[in-house]
Amino acid sequence: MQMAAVVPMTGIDSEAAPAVSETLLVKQAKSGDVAAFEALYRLHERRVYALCLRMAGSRDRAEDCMQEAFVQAWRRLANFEGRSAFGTWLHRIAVNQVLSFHRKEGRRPDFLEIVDDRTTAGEDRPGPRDAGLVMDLEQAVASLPAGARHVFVLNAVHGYSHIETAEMLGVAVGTCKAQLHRARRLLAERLER
Amino acid sequence: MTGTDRPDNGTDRWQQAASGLSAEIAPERDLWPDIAARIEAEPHAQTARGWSVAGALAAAVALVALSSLTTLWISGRDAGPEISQVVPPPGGSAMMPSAAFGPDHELGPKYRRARNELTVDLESRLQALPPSTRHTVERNLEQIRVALAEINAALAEDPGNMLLQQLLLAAYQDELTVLTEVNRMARSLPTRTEI
Repeated sequence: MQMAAVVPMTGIDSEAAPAVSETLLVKQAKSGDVAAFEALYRLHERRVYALCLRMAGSRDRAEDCMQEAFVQAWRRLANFEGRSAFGTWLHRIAVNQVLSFHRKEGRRPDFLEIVDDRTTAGEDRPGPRDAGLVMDLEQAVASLPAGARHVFVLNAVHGYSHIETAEMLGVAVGTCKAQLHRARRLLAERLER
Repeated sequence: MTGTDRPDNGTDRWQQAASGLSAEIAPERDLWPDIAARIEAEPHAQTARGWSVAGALAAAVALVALSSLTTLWISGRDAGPEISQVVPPPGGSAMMPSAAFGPDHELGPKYRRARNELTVDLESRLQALPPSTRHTVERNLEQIRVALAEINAALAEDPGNMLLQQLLLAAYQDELTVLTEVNRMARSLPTRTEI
């Protein structure tokens, strides 16, 4: 199969098309096609980066984690059997990288750096009124303790269920729920005072 | 991502607001060049295909060795004439577990006919053989067919691979050799009327 078979998908607007195209890209990438893997990277870079940025706590760390996540994904592509969405599989790898990074670093993230990142970048910045809310919220989320923040980001921002979140983080579902409760309480305290 | 058990919608406005945060943020710089440099610097695990090719190669080598040994062993027991190697016609195809040759090729009609003829009444011919010989032949045929399936699967992923094509041809050749020998031995056994 040649890359020409998957190139047209980049111009397709239909929401149904990308799933098929992604399957083809995964198949191509599995056979060692770096161009196909780059196409997968382009499809997922924003979501993976958002996850890494909020979980890792700084732009530099997020970039390191994201880079490592995609390298790991390339190495493990043969293990991807399509049981979950490719994006979910990627997120799991990225979460592992962030957790591994935190274990190695053993220090808390610098949340202010995130706020700087968020306020200086982005074309689709919300309006002035929403900007304040988003910035407050981003800052408050970033200031959460790591455990609570990780659960909150995966569950509340990225929409993963408690079970999925717990599995990704390697904790019990009960722990996940407790951390989410803690995150919500801390957010309320910090944002409503 | 199911989100089925997302907690307390409507009761926690900050969590609701969080769900409105963008799940996509563009990196400030293009990270792909660094990633590409790393993955191109290492041998790709080529894993899925690599394993199947490796498995097919191993299976092919094993089957060629095994079926050759079997053929020699059968011939030795039978003390018959030396087995002439069956040269499959270019191409070849279906019968038993169908004889495919990758996704883009078909085995030729002469080979198909020969294979079909040898396979007809295979079971009754096998029954005519001594139990230990029959068991060995059946085991070898099974291994050859497993190898054929694996090589065909590898060839489906890499249709242009000449090595796989050669291995597949050799495997079919071995299968035909065993079938020919079974046929010959069954014919050479004394029948009830000859006793």
